[in-house]
Amino acid sequence: MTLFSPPPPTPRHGAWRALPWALAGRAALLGVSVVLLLWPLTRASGLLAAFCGTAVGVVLGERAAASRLRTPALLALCALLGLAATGAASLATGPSALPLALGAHRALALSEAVLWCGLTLAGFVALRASARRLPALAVLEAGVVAAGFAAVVAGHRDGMVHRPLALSNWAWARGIDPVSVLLVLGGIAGLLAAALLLNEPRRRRAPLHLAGFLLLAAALVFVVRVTGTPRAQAGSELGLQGKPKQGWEPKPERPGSGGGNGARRGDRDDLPFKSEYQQSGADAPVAVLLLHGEYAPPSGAFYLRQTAFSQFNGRRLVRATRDDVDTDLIGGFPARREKLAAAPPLSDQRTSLRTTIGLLADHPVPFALDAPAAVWPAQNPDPKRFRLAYGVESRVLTLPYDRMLSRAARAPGWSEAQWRHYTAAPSDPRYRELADQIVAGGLRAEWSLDPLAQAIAVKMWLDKEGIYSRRSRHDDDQPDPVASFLFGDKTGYCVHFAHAATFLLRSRGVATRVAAGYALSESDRGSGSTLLVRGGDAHAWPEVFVEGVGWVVVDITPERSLDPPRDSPDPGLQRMLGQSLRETEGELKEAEDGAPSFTWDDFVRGLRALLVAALLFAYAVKLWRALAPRLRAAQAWRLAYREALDRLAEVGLRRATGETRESFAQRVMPTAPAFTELTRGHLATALGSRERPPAAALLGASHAVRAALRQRVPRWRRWLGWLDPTSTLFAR
Amino acid sequence: METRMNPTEDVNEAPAVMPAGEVNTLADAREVARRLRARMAAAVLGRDEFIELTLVALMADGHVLLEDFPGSGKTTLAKALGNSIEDDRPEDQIADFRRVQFTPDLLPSDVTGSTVFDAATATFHFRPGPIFAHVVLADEINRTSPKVQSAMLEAMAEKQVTVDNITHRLDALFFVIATQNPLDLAGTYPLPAAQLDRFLFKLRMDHIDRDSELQVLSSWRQRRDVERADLPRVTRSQILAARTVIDQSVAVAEEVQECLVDVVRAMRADERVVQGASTRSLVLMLPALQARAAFHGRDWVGAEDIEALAPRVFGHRVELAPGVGSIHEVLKDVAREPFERLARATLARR
Repeated sequence: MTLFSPPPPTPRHGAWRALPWALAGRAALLGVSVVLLLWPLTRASGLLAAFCGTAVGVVLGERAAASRLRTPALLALCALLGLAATGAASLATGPSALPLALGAHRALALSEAVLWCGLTLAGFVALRASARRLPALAVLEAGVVAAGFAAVVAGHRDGMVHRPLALSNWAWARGIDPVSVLLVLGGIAGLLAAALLLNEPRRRRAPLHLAGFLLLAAALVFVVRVTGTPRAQAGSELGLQGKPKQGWEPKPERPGSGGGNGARRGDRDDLPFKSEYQQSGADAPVAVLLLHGEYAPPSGAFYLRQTAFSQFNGRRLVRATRDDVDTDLIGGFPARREKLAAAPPLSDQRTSLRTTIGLLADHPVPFALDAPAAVWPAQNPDPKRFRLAYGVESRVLTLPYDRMLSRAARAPGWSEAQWRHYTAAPSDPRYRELADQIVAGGLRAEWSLDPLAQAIAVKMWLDKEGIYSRRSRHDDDQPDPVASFLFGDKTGYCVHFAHAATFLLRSRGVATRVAAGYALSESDRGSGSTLLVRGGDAHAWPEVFVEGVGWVVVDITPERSLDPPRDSPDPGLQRMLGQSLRETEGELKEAEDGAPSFTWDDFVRGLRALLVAALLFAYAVKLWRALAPRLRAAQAWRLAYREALDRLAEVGLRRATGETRESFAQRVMPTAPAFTELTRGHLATALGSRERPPAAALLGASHAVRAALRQRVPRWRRWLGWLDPTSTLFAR
Repeated sequence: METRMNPTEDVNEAPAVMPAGEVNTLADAREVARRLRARMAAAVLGRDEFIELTLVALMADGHVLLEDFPGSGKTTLAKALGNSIEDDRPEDQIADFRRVQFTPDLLPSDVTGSTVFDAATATFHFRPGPIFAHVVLADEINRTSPKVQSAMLEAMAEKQVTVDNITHRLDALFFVIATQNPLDLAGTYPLPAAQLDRFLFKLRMDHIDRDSELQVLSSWRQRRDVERADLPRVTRSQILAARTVIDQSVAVAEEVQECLVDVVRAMRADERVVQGASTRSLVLMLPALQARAAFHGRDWVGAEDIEALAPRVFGHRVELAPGVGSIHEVLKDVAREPFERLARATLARR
């Protein structure tokens, strides 16, 4: 800079005052957020156009805010632009010459591009311009970033740990819990959103806001690390889930007896008849089942029985109050390996199958494949993911149905009371009439007393006549919902069908009960040994007793359904969860009871590391600020002054808020006279003097300040100041 | 600036002796101010701050209202200023210094001048009033009737007077020092806010300190009788040139302007202020800031200039709510944020 040359023109007006890269960063950030938001909605051309539209929109919006255009007019223009884009997009795909000329594929791409480019352009011009004029609206932009992030991670909800696919797969492949990755991403998104807000011109309390954001992010991370991720709120109204019962009981708790331990959710002793059977989170996983052995169930489905309802209370079936029935049910989660006395012996018709089940949602009692013989606690490989893991040895049925025929319906050891328990049916004569009718119509006479044959006849009749629907008129408010269902429109869900079949069979003297649990189609298993249990798999089914075999599932699958069929579980998720359950199997470590692995010590350790990092960073900043004036002579007027400020701040000479630099220099004068000259040189350059002092003079003055401090400030004070990592914060 | 010979005692007698020095640079302008100050300081003791502010007003083409007690040296100050200016254009019949004592029965024509009939030539011609001078001392301006006040104030704003529909231009260097007594208010016509607004500064003079007062007593006779021939005077055109130079070469950065505007806006928003300062006051203040910066050897205006001049400029323009002590305490609060912003702006990367 030669002497007396006019100061260089500095384009500093209105909107362009902000550093251009800040604007570019804002445009890029919002562009990426919009692309993330629109990812599922459009294709490559649309995404590219949306990114460009957003970026250009932000820049134009900044410009529009500085123009004289009134805000309502601006918004109206943007709305018009949006409408025009919609119109143009439909023109490109509509009945016009364009699709013919371009080809359908290109016309579609063009239409998408035009639509999203126009919409994002209009939207972000409006957003940016109004945010510029009304700073409170800047929150909306931060909201776009947050929404973009949320759109990415939303797939992870409800236990869908394999989503978002790209991210989760990457993390899983490296053995990282995707939650950590998502938390890091969330932190970044939060910081970026904060940065957007901080970049607003009115940033009076900016550092405070940033600190608030950081604290919020830290709190979120802490909460997630300590309490784990929120669990899937999956559940059906069959009452299969609830707080786990403490302690092992060889038999399930009897209703009415004891009752001291009845703090279970969904604590009812029967199955509900609902006018609208809800399945919230039907696709959310509630458990994972690992099969340690090859097994194909003869029924074509895996029935995981949790409980059974066999006692007829005059109106419907409830949990048995007798001790000598339903002894094959598991009464609780064991603390060590427990055997079930009622398990049938191994034979040619039953084979032993070991399974491991990891619960993703709380269940009051374990569920297992039919005929559990032993239950034991398994090591929980990932307490933050699985509530509980247990192993079951089941003696599963391998006998095909046709070989179960010609057997008695009554076990030889049953007492008369037990028999009556299992065959008690409503006094309504219509059941017997209908059952007779079904058997007569569907079976040859020689099979008409065979329990399984009758059951199959009833099943086939209900399959044909019944209509599956989760909405049913036959709810608990009816005096007899089963009769109303069976002798009415026969429209209902599994509880209706199971009860109806049970009552029909019982009226003909077949020992039958209703079991509840989860039913998984064998085809869902694919080729793996993992089965994903989802909330929507909750089911109730009838079981008939066949002498010498045990309880046999005769499930009813109505041919007609008013509800859409369910999707099969995501094989990726199934495999992934199976993997994480299998991962640490075989290790001898004692099972954890879900205690958080992130302890106070970890927190303190992390905090210490953070502190050390912050300290190092502060010293690096100090060092840089001390060296910078020598490295960048062109900026010496600023950097040399700042360095002197640092040195003064170290010994406690700090400019008060609102104090002018001149009066600060005046105040410092007795300690460091050269600072006045340095201040003058700094201000002269900053405030447009034509005679700018040369860098050497400024560096000399800064040196003189240091020399004066060395002379007049005690050594300990200077050393203490040098060690103070926060001093740069006060050098203003 | 070239060195010149000692001025003679009476400017009118020997105008040719004083060649007009060229005022081209800020240093020259500062030299003009330095000479004026030296002369005035020799005449009035213990009033250095007021001398500086008066000179700032002179260089900023503003006017000064002094509020003080009789006998505090205001006339001496004004007279010393008038005497320090040398008329290098004697043909225009404009005096260096005139004093008008305002009384209730004064008429506008007594100030502006009037058309008189000359019996010898049988024609009317305009006889300029005391306002046709480089430096005018308007003594006790609040004692005269509003119509005279407004004639005076109009002349101050427009730099011209109109008598009998003929407009007579005043000199470019037309500088008014008005005074009023703050206590003896009986029978006065206090200046309304709109007219106060025409004064750049309202300065309140308190009694000078003991040492200065003793010095006055010991030297008053000598100072009365002896014209300080050793202190050079400056010419009218030098002052005008200095004004131009200051205006052209002292930078007012955008940050400084923002700071100034923010201070005024914050002051208007403050609940202790009933009526804030006008935009005109800001316009008038800019040259004053430049002049002060130039006096302090800077070619840029800084926060210290605003800090020093703001109470003087806004003191008489801002109406404070009852019970609020002074403009200083309001300014201290409202200026904190703009000053902080200005300070941060200078250190910001650019």
